[in-house]
Amino acid sequence: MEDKDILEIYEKEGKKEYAFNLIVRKYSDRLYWHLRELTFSHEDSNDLLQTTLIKTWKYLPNFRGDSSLYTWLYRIATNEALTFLKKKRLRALVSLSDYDSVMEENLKSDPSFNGSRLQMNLQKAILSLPDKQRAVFSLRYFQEMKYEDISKTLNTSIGALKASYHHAYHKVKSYMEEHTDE
Amino acid sequence: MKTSGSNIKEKDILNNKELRKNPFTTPDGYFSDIENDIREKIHSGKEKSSEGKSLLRAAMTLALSFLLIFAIGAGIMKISEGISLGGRHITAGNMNSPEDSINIENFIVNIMDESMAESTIADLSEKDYPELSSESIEDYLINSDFSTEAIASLEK
Repeated sequence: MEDKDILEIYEKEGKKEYAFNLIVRKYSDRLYWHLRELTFSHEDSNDLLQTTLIKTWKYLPNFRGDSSLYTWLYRIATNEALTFLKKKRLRALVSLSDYDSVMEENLKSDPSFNGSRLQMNLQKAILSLPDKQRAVFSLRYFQEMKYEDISKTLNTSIGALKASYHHAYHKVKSYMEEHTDE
Repeated sequence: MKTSGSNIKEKDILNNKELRKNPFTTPDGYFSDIENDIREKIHSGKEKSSEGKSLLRAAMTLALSFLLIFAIGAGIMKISEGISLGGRHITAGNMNSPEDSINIENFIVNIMDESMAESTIADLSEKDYPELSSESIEDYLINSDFSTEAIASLEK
C-alpha cells in the first residue's frame, strides 16, 4: 500500500490504530535491518526499532507531510541509533574502554550471523566507519536509497552525502581487498 | 590498453551480489510479534501516563494538607506563646476584644501565606478554580441573606 493511502486512512475517524499497524507491517523489516547495520546487535536493534515505532505513533498526529513518510521514519530510526551510539561511546570513554571493540566482539560472536567469510569481512569493514558515515553507507549500499531521500533523512546536503559515500565506499573496498584471504 | 567499464565493475569487490544479501537471521516470528509488542507498549504507556497524573494530583493534595496543618499548628503555637501587636503582647488568656481575634486571624493567614511555597500556588491552574457563571452568582445571592439593597449596591 502506498504511503499516501496509509495517511489517508489515518485521517479517518477511528482508523488511526489500523493505519499505524499498516506502517508497522510495511516498515519494521527495513528499519530493523538499517538499525542492525548501525548497531551490530539484535537486542539493541530491537530496542531502537520499538522506540522508533512508539515515537512514530506519538508524533504521527503532528506529521505535516513536508517530507515523505518513508524518509520521516528513517530519520527517526537513524537519529535514535546515532544518539544511542553516542551515549554508548561516552559511557565506554568514562570506563576507559572502547565501544568499537565491544561492537566488533558482538559481531564476531553473533550466533545469528549466517553468512560467508566475505560477508563477515564486509561487516568488519563497515564497522570501521564513523557512525554517521556508516549510516550513509547503509542507506545507500544496502537500502539503495536515493541521495535526495538520504538528504532528507540525515538533514545533510546531497553533495556532502555523495562525498561521504564515495569516501566510505573506498575505505570499505580497501579493507575488503586487504583482508581477502582472511 | 583501455579497460572497459564492465571489467572495472567486475573487479570491484563491492559489486559482488553476495555482499548485498543479508547475512543475519532474526529469532523465529520476530517480525510477526513486533506488531503486538508495540501495541501493548502503546496501550500500557497510555495507562501509565493517566495513572501517573492521578498519583501526582494525590501527592500534591497530601502535600498541601500537610502545609495547612503545619501552618495552623505554627499559628496555634504562636498564639499560645502570645503575639505582639500594636504595642501589646496578646495571648489566648488576655484577649480583650473582637479586634484582637481579627488581628490573630490575620496573623495566621500571613503565616500560611509565608509557609505556602510560591510554586505550589503557581502550580494550581485555572481549572482548579471553577469558572463562576453569572447564573451561579445570581443563585448564590438570591439564596443568601443579602438584601436587595445590598445586591443593588454591588452593581455600582
